[in-house]
Amino acid sequence: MDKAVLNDEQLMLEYANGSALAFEQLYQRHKGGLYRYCLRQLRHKSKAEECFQEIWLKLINSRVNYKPTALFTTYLYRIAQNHIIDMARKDNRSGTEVEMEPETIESQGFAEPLEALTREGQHTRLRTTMAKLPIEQKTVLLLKLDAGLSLEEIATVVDCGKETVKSRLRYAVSFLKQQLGEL
Amino acid sequence: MTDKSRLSDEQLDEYLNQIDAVCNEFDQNEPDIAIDRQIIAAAHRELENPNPKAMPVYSWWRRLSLPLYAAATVSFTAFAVHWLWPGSAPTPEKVYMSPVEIEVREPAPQVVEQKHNKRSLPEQKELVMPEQVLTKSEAVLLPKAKTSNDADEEVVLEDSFASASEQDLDEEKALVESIEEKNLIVVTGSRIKREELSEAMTAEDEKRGEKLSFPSEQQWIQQIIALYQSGKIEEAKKEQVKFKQVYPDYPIDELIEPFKS
Repeated sequence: MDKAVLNDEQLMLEYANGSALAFEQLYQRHKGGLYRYCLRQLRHKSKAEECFQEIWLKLINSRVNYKPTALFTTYLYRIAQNHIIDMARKDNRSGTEVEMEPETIESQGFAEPLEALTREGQHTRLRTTMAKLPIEQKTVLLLKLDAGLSLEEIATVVDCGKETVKSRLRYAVSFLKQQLGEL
Repeated sequence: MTDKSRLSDEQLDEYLNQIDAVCNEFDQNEPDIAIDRQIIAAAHRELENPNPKAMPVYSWWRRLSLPLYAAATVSFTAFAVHWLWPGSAPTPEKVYMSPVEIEVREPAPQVVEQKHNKRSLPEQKELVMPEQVLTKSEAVLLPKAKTSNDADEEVVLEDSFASASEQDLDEEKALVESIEEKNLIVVTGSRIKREELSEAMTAEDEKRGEKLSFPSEQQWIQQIIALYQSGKIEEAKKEQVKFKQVYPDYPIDELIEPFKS
């Protein structure tokens, strides 16, 4: 069977049946979005990498329990969301302040420093403003932007209704537009 | 937030697209290749050496728990029925209740005085008909209305042969005497013992059938006609009613009709 035409659910079932190639393909499809999601949520590169690894390990360990009753993306991001919440609770308990590290900004690699500062400034302001959002609105917005989920899929991940998701998204966008103006 | 109402769905989608464009332009962060290798290696390891903790466990207890629970429930129910409540167990067949002793009590005595009866005897003012003299066994079986509570007073039932002939009366008298001699009861109000009853039942039941027999049709009709002729209309009517009960098909009304007037 050609793995290129298989969807995420079929690839996950293939991996559960012992196909490592299916997992590699699945990983290539989702590693970028999931990594950025962790990075934006935790605002700390090393924590994001740790979280990213643990999410994939959880997925690997639960391969035999996977049932394609829902989309694979919602399954993956639900694991991610629960793990991020756990990490945030641990950080709150230990009193660790999670802040974006300078290396995250420095890693962009623009050719011209002035241009980089200008364009980076717009992007940085966007991310800074997004960080001010309440956690529920920020989660919905990041799942929409980084993971590319639909409203129904986001509702499944955060375990609430579609209208609730839409309302949170509307509040978040309104706040960004009020703070940043037109982009 | 007051700005919420200002954003329509189209505006919301448009602004989200702008944010997405900025993020895609500047956010192309990817995990390190080392992380990729670690994760893929972990995936391969999991396939080669599956983690037993991650594998689903099908223990024998999980498979047998439901049948065991069902068997335990049935056993407990059976134990409860047969041991905790033995009285509720069904009674075996051919097991009967012990005989019930019925205490006979007396209602008001029923004594019929027959002022103008030919059968009045010099030493016996009240006639006790042999057919209605109750043996001990009959005293148990009869309803309470036919017994007497007073020990000194005999129960005498209504005479059904008020118009009996002298010959019949003599027979009846002799029969009463024979009964008294044999200690048959003329029911008293006292309690009848079971032993006495059983003794009296055997001998008297045979005679009882004979005593309860009625006279023949012709003989009985002649008695009724004699009652009509002697002017005892009420007694004759009673006898006629009894006759109809005993011989319902006999055309007694047509035979008696000429004698009524």
